Amino acid sequence: MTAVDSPLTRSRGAGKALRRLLAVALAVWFALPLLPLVLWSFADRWSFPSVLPTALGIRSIDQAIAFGVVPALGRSLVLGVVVAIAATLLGALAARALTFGAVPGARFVSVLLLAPIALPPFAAVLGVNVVLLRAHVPSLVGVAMVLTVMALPYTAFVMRTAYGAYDRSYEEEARLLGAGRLQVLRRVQLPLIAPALARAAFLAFLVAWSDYIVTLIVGGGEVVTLPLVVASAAAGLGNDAAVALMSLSAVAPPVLLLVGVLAFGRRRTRSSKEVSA
Amino acid sequence: MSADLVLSGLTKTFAASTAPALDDLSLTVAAGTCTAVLGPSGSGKSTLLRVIAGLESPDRGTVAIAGRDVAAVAAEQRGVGMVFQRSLLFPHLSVLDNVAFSDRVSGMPRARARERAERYLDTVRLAGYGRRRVGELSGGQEQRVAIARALAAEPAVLLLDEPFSALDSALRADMHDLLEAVRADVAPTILLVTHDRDEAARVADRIALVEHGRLLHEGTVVEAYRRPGSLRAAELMGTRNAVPGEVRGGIHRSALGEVAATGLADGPATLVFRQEDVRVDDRPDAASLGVVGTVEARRPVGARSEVIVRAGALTLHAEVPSVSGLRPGDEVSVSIAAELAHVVAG
Repeated sequence: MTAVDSPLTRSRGAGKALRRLLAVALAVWFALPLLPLVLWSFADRWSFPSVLPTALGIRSIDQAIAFGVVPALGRSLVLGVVVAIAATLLGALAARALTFGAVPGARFVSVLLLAPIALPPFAAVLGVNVVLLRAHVPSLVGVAMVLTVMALPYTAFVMRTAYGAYDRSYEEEARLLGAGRLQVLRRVQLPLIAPALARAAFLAFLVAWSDYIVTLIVGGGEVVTLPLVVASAAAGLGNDAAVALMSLSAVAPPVLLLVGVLAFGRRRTRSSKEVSA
Repeated sequence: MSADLVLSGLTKTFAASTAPALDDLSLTVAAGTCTAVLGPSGSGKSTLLRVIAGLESPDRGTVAIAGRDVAAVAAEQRGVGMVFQRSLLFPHLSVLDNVAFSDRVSGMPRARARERAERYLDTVRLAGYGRRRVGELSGGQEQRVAIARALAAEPAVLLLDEPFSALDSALRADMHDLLEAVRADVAPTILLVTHDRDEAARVADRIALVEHGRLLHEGTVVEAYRRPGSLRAAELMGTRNAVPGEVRGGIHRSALGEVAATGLADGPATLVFRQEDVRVDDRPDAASLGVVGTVEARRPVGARSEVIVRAGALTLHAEVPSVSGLRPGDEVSVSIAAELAHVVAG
């Protein structure tokens, strides 16, 4: 929901100034930690007493490539997209069933869906690891499966909110206008819940994108994603510049995605006042 | 494109309640005519429309459109259009694409569907609004678009579920004119659900009174007002005067006098008549049914005034011009022309 610009909610005077100040302060707070990363990324040498890098350069790029950052980036993206699609689809189906259908023990199912958040990943993953190994599940598939479960609470929650605000009368109206089940899904339901789907997929992508423990343990070292490469490089000495560069490249895709999702959501809310999610 | 709508013996009980929402309801709407279904809230009116549309299936009874039982036909293939109280315009589509929805769904290319939609927008006097977003419309405009969208699907039967009750009275009058124009133009068979008697009288050819899922009365608008089928039907039509009496040999006798009651069996029966038709005079009127009483109260009803007259055990209601000099305590003669009074059993 975007704030409606009404005389009651519009801030003015001191309130307006304070809000601006707060926004700038927050932006600085979020951006500040990235500044040393940027500096480090392009510091060929940075000896102790100096405030700024003593020698600027792009040696970090070669170093990062040598660590295998490019294929790791690709693997992370694939994993993120796969988990985003799977978790969003499952979350949406679960949420729709819980909101509209007669799910036996709906409350229990809801709690179960949120359980992966409450459970320490270490404890769950160590057990699951053995099961997956015994079942001969390929490590990449195993990682994707476990991460999908970990992302499910977020997608299910986002989609439940969306379906809670979703009015099925639109579907009835569409049917009376001649739309069959698939047409209703394609022309009415999906467009109406699209912003929520985008949000859910973004959260699920983030879960997979930033995961370390599950990928390490379930992947058994075979699925080398970006966080694994960064961690191994950070463990060594003299890799500060490469680590900084790789960390920066890990920040960029989610930020770009977030901007995209927000822009998408804004375009939708301008066109639809009734449907919020 | 219009078709007869024949409902017979429709019965529907929802699992959550014991009382049936529809109870053996039969009704026929001739092709191209408009019947208003009138009844208090919760009387099963909306369920009736949903059953006809195929959104609910009846426990018993049949819905026939153009002589064909549609029980096995899915809602999307029945050729029934529906406009709800809320416009339910798809928020992700422009006004034009909302109206073009049915054609797009049936596979028509976008350009042609939009061209046709433009024509229907013109029918509801919203030409040029096609490019607008749904959120930019007023309540009345939204309902017009909803009607255009329903009409664009060329339904054989158009169901209107209190489509104007959220609008203010001036807009509602506009919409009544619009509906009249649409009927003259495309003449679909219309079933209009409303709780507003005046709206029913204004828009429809016939009125069906429904209460507790049962059909109480069905007839022309004039019949519904002046010749109701039962005492309850008279009450639902807003008739305020009911004088108990008895029928013997085809004559009804009551405190107001005698009047012919043809076709009624001997036994208790009630004389009902409209407060609008009652005459209030200083002197008794020998030719009519009447009684002498005292004005008990007076209150304004729109541009007219309602006068309550007590005559013995009887309380009678009459409407008089607001300039009338009657005041509480006045002795008056209350009369009703015999042809405007109606006798119902019970």
